[in-house]
Amino acid sequence: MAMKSLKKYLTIFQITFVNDLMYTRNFIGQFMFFGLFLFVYSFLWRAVFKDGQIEGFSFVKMMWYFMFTESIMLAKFVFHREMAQDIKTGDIAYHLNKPYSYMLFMYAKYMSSSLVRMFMNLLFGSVILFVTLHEAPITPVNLILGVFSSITGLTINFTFYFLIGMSAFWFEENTAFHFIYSKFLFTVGGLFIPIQFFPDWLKQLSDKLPFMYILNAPAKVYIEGVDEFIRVFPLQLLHVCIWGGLIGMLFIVGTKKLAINGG
Amino acid sequence: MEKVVEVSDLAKSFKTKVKKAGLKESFKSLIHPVYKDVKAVQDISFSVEKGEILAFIGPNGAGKSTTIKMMTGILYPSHGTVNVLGLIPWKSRKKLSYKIGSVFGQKSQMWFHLPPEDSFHLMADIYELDRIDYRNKLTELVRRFQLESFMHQPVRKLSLGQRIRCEIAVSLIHSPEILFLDEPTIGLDVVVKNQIRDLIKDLNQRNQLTVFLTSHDVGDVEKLCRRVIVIDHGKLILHSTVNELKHAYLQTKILSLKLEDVYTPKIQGVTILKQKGTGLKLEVDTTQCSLQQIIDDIIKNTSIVDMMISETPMEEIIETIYNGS
Amino acid sequence: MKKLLKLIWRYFKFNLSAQMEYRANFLIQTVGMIINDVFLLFFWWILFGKVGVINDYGMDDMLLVYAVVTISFGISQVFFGNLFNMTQIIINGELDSYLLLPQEPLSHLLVSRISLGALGDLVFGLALFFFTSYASVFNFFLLIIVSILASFVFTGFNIIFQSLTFYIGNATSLASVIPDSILTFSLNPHTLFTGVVRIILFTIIPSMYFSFMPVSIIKHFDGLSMLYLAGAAVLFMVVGVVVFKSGLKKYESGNLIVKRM
Repeated sequence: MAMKSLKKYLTIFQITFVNDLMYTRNFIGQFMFFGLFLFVYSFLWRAVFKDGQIEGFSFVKMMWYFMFTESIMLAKFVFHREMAQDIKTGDIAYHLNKPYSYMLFMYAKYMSSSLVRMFMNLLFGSVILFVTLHEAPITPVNLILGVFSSITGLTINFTFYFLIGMSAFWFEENTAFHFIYSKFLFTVGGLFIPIQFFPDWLKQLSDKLPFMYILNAPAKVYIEGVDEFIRVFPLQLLHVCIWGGLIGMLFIVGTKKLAINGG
Repeated sequence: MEKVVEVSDLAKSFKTKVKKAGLKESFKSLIHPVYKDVKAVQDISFSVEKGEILAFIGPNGAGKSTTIKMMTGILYPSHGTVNVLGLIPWKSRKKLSYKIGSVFGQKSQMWFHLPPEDSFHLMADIYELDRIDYRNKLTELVRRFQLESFMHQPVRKLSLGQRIRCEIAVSLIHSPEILFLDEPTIGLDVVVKNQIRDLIKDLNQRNQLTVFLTSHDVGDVEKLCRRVIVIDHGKLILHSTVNELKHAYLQTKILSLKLEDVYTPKIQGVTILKQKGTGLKLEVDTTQCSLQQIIDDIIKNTSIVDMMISETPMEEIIETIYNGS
Repeated sequence: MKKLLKLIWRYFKFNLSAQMEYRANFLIQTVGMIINDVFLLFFWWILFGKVGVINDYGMDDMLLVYAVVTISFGISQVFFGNLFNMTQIIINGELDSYLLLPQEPLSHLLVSRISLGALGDLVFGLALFFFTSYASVFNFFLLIIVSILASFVFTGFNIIFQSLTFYIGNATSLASVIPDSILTFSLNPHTLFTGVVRIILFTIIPSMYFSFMPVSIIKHFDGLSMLYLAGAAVLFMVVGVVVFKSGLKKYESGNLIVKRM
């Protein structure tokens, strides 16, 4: 019974996945950007690490770390505007009338688009790095665990994106929220610099926030492997449950408001 | 009468790439592109007299905008000559721009979020108008176009009719000698359409403003223009006065009927366009058979359940003209 | 020239008042950009906190780099706000409206829009300068001059690539790589780049002229470098104008490999 109801989400997932694969031309722009960053920052990190390792990172490890965080960062499917539109115009009512959960519906769409892009980014990034650095500190096991961790990270990200979209129930504009959220990912998410480089107080703060479990954690799993996975994966799942649960409940409150006000 | 525009043997061809769909074809096209010659305008000649309102009509893709672009200097021709106010447009585009105004129905010259007043001020700067002349002209235009009530409201708050009035006024701030009007009454209701038409007519008569009008609206042509030029597939296919055109084509009406019984009228001047069961579509040449006559004839033989009278659409007129029938 | 300046002022006022109609949006755009720029510095704060100095560059130097780049970028975007829209303007026929008016089309289309975010960049850059150890009255004047020159380097260079639309059709993706590249390279210590890359940064991705040269002029004023920078500014603008004008000729022949209505 549960499998049957889950099946519809799988279908949505499949359709979006195939659809997005068709638009591979759009990836070219993204790849150029990605490649540019990898190229430019390689110079920086080479200079930083010329005297040896820092916090367990070497030049090569750092480049791969950066590639992995960007593979997730550039992959995530942005939908807060679309969702805000649905809420503002009242179109969301059509979804709420159907026998599926709007949240899961959006999750399926989001995941399929994001995963297509993520795999493209991983492929592209890995090829570039392998060709230029001739070194790849990753094993097949690490890769698989990394992917799992990335998917979980993307899921945590989804809950926040859903929250931002939901803000349309109460706020006119949600661009500012998305902006602030991106800044958090940018900094305490460990996008450009691993959390390990932060001063202690900031390190401790970041540990408690969910953002590092979206980017930093998966990237480290790719590089460090099983030990890291065992350490962070439960924490990732914890964040998924906490935020997923909270935001899910908030959504119910929001839709009730919609029902009362008539949209 | 002095001629302000002279177009002679004007022609324009474009080379467009021919490419079929698909990835393989895209590659082929990249390495060995195939070009097709498209003759947008083919040897047209006409002239415009000072102070006249000339209609320049034709179906979409006929070459109208290409011709206008050559007349305003945006494009240069493949061959032929154009002379506007003594200037060759593509050679003296900037000089010519001081003397012509243009209103292109779909594209607005005004700033959406600001009041029309600001757009006027901007144009004064662009056309380097003398301050006092500008002030006088502005007052005059505001009065004639009755813009006082909304000069200070943002353009986005204006109705379409108000906006068009502003657009035309703005295009005249530098007192041009020729005005190129493209679809000025599109989207307007009948009352406002007539307002705009009266305005244009007034400008023409009082200021000797020459107007080059493009419109799909037969009413515009009928009410404003003395002469009309029809262009299709890049060729000039008709050059006549509106009266002649009216007499020949605009007197045709289309009658769409739903009758009680099946009936096929056989009257001189009435052509059956379509007949399906009790549904009937007729083309009536009212110079041969009046509407009264055909309706009487039908009523004598059956009853009319539903009826709609319309004019032959411009596209059809032009098609008819083109086909020479 | 006088007319152009008059128009710039007019359009500046317009854009400002039009965009201030939506006050909230105006604030969000400008303040947002300032916040955005501040966060970019976060990266360097952490990095320099960990390693102190990278190839003779310290935090202070990076602040100067950021000041120069944001001001130069800001100047370009404020006065030539349509720079990145050129491709669209050419493709969708908006260019025609400019051609029908008695003002040189390139300058006209460029100045008819300002970018609000850029105002934030300007404020940020100017404020940031005073946090560096290089802040002084003389250096401030230098800053203004080199930023203006650098903004012309940036503008001219982008005009070249945006004008490629006349030749190859929709060049949006190609054209947008340029500013991204220039900025990404520019916001890094220039001492990182040697050899072939350095040559590239003096030519097809002119970061050297856009940030490194201006920064070094402020650090140690050198008349020759200033001349060099001015020369680069003039060169890129001239080439940009030339490419645009020849592209325009092609446009006027109508043979664009572009779909036109």
